[in-house]
Amino acid sequence: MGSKGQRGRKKREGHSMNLALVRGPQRAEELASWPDEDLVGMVSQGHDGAFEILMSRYKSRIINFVFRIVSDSDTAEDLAQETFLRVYRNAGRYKRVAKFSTWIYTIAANLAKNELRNRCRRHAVTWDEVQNLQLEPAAHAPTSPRPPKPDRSVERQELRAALNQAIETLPARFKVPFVLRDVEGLAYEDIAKMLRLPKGTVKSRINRARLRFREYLEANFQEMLDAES
Amino acid sequence: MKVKSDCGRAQGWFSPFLDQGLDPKKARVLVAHLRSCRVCAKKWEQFRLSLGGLKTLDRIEPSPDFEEKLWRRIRESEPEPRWGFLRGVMTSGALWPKLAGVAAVAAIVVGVLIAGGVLGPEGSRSPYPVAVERSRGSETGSVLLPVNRLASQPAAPLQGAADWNSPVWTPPRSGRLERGLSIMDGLPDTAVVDPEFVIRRVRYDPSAPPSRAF
Repeated sequence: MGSKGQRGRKKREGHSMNLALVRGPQRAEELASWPDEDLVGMVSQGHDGAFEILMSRYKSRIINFVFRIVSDSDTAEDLAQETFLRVYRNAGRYKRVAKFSTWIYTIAANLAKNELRNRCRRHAVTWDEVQNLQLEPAAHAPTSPRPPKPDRSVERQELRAALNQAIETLPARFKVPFVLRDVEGLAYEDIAKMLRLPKGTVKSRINRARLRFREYLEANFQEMLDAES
Repeated sequence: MKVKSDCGRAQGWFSPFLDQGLDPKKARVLVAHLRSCRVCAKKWEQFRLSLGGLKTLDRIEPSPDFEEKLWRRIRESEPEPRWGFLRGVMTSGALWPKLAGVAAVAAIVVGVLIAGGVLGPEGSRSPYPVAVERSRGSETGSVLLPVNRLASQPAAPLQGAADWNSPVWTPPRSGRLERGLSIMDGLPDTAVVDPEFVIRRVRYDPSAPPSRAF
């Protein structure tokens, strides 16, 4: 325990506030302004309040990220909980060489990919096939001219549905980096670390994902795109 | 066909151009092409809008009991405390050396509490000792701590306790536990004798003898 305890002791000494003396409510407010990486340090020392703050910061982002990959809200929530459970259990192993956001997204991405892989097994499809599989366009894709709709919000809703559909059709190897970049807004460098791929490969996959994304929309929702542009 | 290849090349540059990662020379060529080619200009606009639309996708909200379920999952997945101190003391052989260890720790705790002025004749005494499990990193253990005024307010048990008579309860988080412990006037605010320890769980142990020393 010695080295870990000493690191913990030094960490506490490094903070100007002696946390052992801070009363409950003040501690929560104080922690709320701490960076993620420091909060993880507190979690590794058993501070559940720090973990709750991290949860409130990332809960929605992780659920939505996983949802974009697995396309099922119940599964997304279950996998998000598993992500946080692993963060809680392994907080002591977190190394500050990477941002906390990179770490938690990595855990979530791996769980999401495992879920897709398990679905393959259930459907007797190989993972390689799914990595490259492009789903057929949806049967209900509009093919006939739409009557004019004065309600803009309905159009926007339809466009969002079309975008969701286009994401779903992406093969898994493109979908994950694409969602991380274009939905979650993460940087290429962080995505490369998360996926343990060279940055060039990440860029290439995202470019190809965007191309397929655009082609799918053009093939199935051209009129909608025309109306929007 | 030059026109087709110009358009093909231009559309191939959309993605890096969007990321502002296109070579400046190519970027100038692309911009010039978009100004002269309505088809590509339209495709660029639609490309930009569709990717921009991704940021406005409906987001699903976590269920209201997400955190509660997660904490339950965490508790269910936690291993038994490595020391299992209190149970070990009561049930295993070689009792006296362990009792001596417990007594030593309790004596230290009492000394700290008396020195800190938190123990005294005022306030009623709880007949029940409370085992406080604390952790430091992966190390956990239990120590008996005196409870001074808790039982004087049976209607207001330790914050977070569903039922004071239940043998084991776990507060939802240590922050609340610390505030809960401050209700117990017999304990320091964070109930931390050693600042390196963080209180994880307070356990009412009916098998433990009432604490007479306090």
